Amino acid sequence: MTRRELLLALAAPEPRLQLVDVTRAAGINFSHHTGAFGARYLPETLGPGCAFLDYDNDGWLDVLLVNGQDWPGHPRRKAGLQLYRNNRNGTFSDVTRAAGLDFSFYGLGVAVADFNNDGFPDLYLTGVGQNRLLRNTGRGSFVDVTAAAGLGNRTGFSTSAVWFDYDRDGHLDLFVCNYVRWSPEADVFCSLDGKTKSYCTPEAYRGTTCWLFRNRGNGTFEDVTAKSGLFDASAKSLGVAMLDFDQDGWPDLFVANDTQPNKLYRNNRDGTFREMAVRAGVAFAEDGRARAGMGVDAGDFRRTGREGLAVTNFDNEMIGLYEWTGGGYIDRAGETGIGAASRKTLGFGCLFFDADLDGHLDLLAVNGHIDDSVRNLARGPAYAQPPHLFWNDGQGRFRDISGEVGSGFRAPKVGRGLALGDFDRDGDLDVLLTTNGGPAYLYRNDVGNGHRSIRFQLEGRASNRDAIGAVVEVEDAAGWQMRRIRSGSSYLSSSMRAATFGVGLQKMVKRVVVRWPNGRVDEFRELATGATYHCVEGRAPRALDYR
Amino acid sequence: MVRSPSGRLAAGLVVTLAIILAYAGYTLNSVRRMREVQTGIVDQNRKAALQLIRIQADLNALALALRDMQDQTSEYPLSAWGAQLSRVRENLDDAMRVESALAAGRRDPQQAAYLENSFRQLWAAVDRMQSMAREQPAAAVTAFIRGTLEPQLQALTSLTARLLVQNNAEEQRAGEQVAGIYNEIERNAYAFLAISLGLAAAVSLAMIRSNRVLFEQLARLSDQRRDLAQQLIAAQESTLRTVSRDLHDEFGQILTAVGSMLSRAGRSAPAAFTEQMQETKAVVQETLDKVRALSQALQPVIVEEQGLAAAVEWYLPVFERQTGIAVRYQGPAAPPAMEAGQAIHVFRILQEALNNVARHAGVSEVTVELRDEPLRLRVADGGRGMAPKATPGVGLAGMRERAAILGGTLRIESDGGTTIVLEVPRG
Repeated sequence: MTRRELLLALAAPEPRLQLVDVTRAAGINFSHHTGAFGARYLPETLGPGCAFLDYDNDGWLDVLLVNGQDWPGHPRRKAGLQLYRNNRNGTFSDVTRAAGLDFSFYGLGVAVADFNNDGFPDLYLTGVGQNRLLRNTGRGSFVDVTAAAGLGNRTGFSTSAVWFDYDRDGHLDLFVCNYVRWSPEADVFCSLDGKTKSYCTPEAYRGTTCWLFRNRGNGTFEDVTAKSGLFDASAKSLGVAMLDFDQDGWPDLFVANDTQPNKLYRNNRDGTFREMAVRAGVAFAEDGRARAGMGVDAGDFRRTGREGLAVTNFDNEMIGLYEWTGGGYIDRAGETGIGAASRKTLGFGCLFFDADLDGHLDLLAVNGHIDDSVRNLARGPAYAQPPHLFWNDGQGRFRDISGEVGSGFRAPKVGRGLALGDFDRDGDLDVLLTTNGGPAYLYRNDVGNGHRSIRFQLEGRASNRDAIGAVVEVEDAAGWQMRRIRSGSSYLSSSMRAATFGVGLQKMVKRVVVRWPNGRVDEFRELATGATYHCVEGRAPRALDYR
Repeated sequence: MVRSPSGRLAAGLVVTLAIILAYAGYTLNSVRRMREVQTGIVDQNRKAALQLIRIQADLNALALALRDMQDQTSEYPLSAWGAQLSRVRENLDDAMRVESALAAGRRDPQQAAYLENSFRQLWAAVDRMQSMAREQPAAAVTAFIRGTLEPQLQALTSLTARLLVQNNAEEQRAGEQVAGIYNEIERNAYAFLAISLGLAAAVSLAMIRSNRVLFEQLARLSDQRRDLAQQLIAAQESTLRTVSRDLHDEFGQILTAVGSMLSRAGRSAPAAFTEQMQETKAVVQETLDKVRALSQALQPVIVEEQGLAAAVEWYLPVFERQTGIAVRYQGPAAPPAMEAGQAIHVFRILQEALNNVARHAGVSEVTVELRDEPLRLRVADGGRGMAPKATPGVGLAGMRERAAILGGTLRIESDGGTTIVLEVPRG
C-alpha cells in the first residue's frame, strides 16, 4: 500500500456506499402472490426466495424470483416464478416463458448449482408439494428432470436448500430443509384475538425431517437422509448454510430451525454426519430456549480464518452472531451491537458481504413479520420492518447503516428472500430482495470511496465444476481474508457463486490460495485488484475485466 | 479532686468495639450459612430442576418420535429413526449424568437405583425396537412400541415429574431455611441495635456527668485565680500607694526642710561657703524633684486628686519625654466620673499599653483615645504588631485582670500594628 493509499484509507474510515433502487429502471416487475384468500394457510407467510444466476453463461448475472400461486379451489390471479435475463445495460427482460419456467407451482425457495457438471447452472425449486429439479439445457431453457432424477413422488413443505459435495466425489449433492407437516386438510385454527384466524406459529404443527440426496453422478439421486444420520422428524427447518467449522476440508452443515434447536452437522467423512449443535453452543439461545431460526449465513467476519455464523430469529430474540472460539461458538451479538439493534425485528434472509469493499465482512439482514394482523395489536411489532445493514468497523463492532445508504433502502418491507450478485459488473455486490405478498427490489450498490475488489470465479475439474465448498484465501496488506464458494445460505435464496473480496484502495494482493473441495491447493502471487480471475482447478488464473 | 473519666471512656469504647466485632462476626457467619444453604441446596436444586426439565423435554421428544413411528406416514422405514433416537439418547444420558451428580447424597438410594434401572430398561427396549425395525414388519414394531416402550416411557415421565415435585419441595424447605436465617438476623439486628443504643446512652451520660464536674471545677479554679489576681493587684496598688505617700510625705518634707535649712544657713554662712551651700541646695532640690516624680510614678496622686482625664493628660507628656514617642491624644468631652479606686486600673492599663508600645512596636507615634459613656480607652500604634503565636506576657494578663476588676473587656487587635481597646460599661 502506498503512503497515499494509506492516508486515504485512514482519512475515510466511514462507510461510503449507496444502495440505489433500480428495480423499475431495470424492468423488473414482480409481485409475490401468496395465494391468500382468508384461510391464512401457514405457507403464505414464508415466501418467496430469489436468486442471482448466470443461466445463459454470458457472464452477466440474471435474476430469478420464486412465486406462490393460488390455492386449489380459490383462484385469485395468475402468478408464477419469473426469470429475468440481464440485457448488459442495466435492464432485464422477462424470459420466463422462453426458459420453460412458466409452470404452475407453489414455490418458496431456490437453490442454484451445476449438478451435472455441464457448465450451466441448474435449479432446485422448493415449495409446498412436489419440489422441482430443473436442468439447464444450455440453450437458454430448463427442463424438469425431477422424476428422472429420482426426486419425484415426494411431497413436503420445503424451504431452503443447499447444493454441496458432502462425499467429495465431484458431484454436487442436495440438502433440502423441510418445515412442518402441514397440508390444507391438516390446517390448525390459531387466533391472536380468539375470534379471527391468524397465522399459526410452528408449535402448532409437528416437525418433519430434512432430506439429503446423494448425486450418483449419472443424473440421478439417492435419498441418504437416514443412512447419513441426518434424519430428524422433529426438525422445523427454514435456513441452511454450508461451512467447515472443524476445518477438516469436509463440508459441514448448519440448519436453522424454527422454535426447535438449531442443528450443526459435522461431516464424519464416511457419508455420515454427527450432530454437534448443543456441544458447539449454537442449538439454543443463551437462556437455553430454542429460538425461531429463519435465515443463516457463514462467514469469516473477524478475519480469523474461521467461519462465524449469523442466524436471524423472531422479534425479541435478536440475531445470533456466533464466533468460533476454539472449543465452540460464542454468541457475540450483544457486544458487537447487532443484538440490541435487531431485538425488535423479525429477520429472514441474511448474508455476510463486504458492502463497501473495505476488507471486512458486513452483514445484511431483511426483516418483516409473519402475520399482518400484528398491526392490530397495541404496541405490537410492525408488520413491515426496515432491513439491517450492519457495517463492520473492523474493531469488533457493527453499526446499522441502513439509513445512510439511500433514501429508499431503509423503508419498511415485509422482507423474506435475499441474494447478492454483481449484476452491473462494477466490482461490488448488488442486492436482490423479495417481500412477502409484495414486490422484489433490486438495489445497485455504488461504492463511493474508491475501494477496489478482487473476484475469483472457480471452475473445478476433479472437484465439482462449480467448486462449491472451495475456499479462497487472499493475503493483502491487512492480512488474510477467506471466502467459501457456496450455494444456499440466506433464506430460500441463492447468490452469485464467485468469491468477491474488498481490498480497500490496494491495487495488488500479495498471495491467493485456493483450496479445492477435493483437497488440492493452488497458490498464486501478486494479483492485481479490480478484476475477476477465472481459476480452473490446477491451472493459472486468467484475468477478466469486470466489464 | 475529680477522677479522670478517660479510664471509664476507654472501657466503654472497648466494650462497644467488642460488641461491634461480635456482631460483625455473627453477621459474617450468618452470611456464610446462607451462602451454604443457597449454593448447597437452592442452587443445586435449581440446576437439578433444569436438568429434570431437560430430561422431560427429551422424554417428550422420544415420545413424539415413537408416535411418528407408529403413524407410519413417513416415506422412511422405521429404521431411519435410529439417528434421531440416538441424539435423544445422547442428550438424555448427559442430562441424567449431570442430574445424578447434582442429586448425589440427597436422593433416596432406592429411588436413584429405580431411576437408573428404569432408564436402562428403556434403552434396552429402544435397542430391541430398533433391531426389530431392521428385521421385522412394521406392525410388530409398532405393537412393541405400544405395548412395551410407551408404558416404560410413561412411567419414566411420571417418575421425572415426581422428582421435580420433590425437588420443588426441597427448594421450598431451603427457602424456609433461608427465611429463618433472615428472621434470626433481623431479630439479632434489633437486639444489637438496642444494646448499642443503651451503651451509647450510658457512655454519653457518663461523659456529660464528667464534663459537668470538670467544668464546675474549672469554673471554681478560674474564680479562685481571679480572686487571687485581684488581691495581688490590690495589694500591689496598696503597697505602691504607701511607698508613694511615704516618699512624698516623709522624704519630701525632710528634703523640703533640708532645703529651707540650707537657705537659712546660706544667708548666715561666710562668703567662702556660699557657693558650696548653693550647690548643696541644688542637689537637695533635685533629689526632692526625683522623689516627687518617683512618688507620682508609683502612685499618681493626681488620679485620686484630679481624676482619670487629668492623670492621662499629665502622664502622656511624661511618656513622650521618657520615650521620644509622640502621642496623639483625643480626650473625652467631659472628664469621666469614676472612683479613684477604679480609675487607677484604667490608668495602669494605659501605662502598660504605652510601655508595650515603647518596648515592642518600634514606632515614633502612638494614638490614645479616651471616651466616656461607656468608658472606652483605645491605644493604637502602627507598629510591627504581635506575632500570631506569641505567648501573652504578664503585662497583658495584668491588663485583663484589671479590666475584669472593672467589669469591662479588654480586646487586643493585631493587624498592621497593635490596638488595645478597653471598654467598661457604665451605670
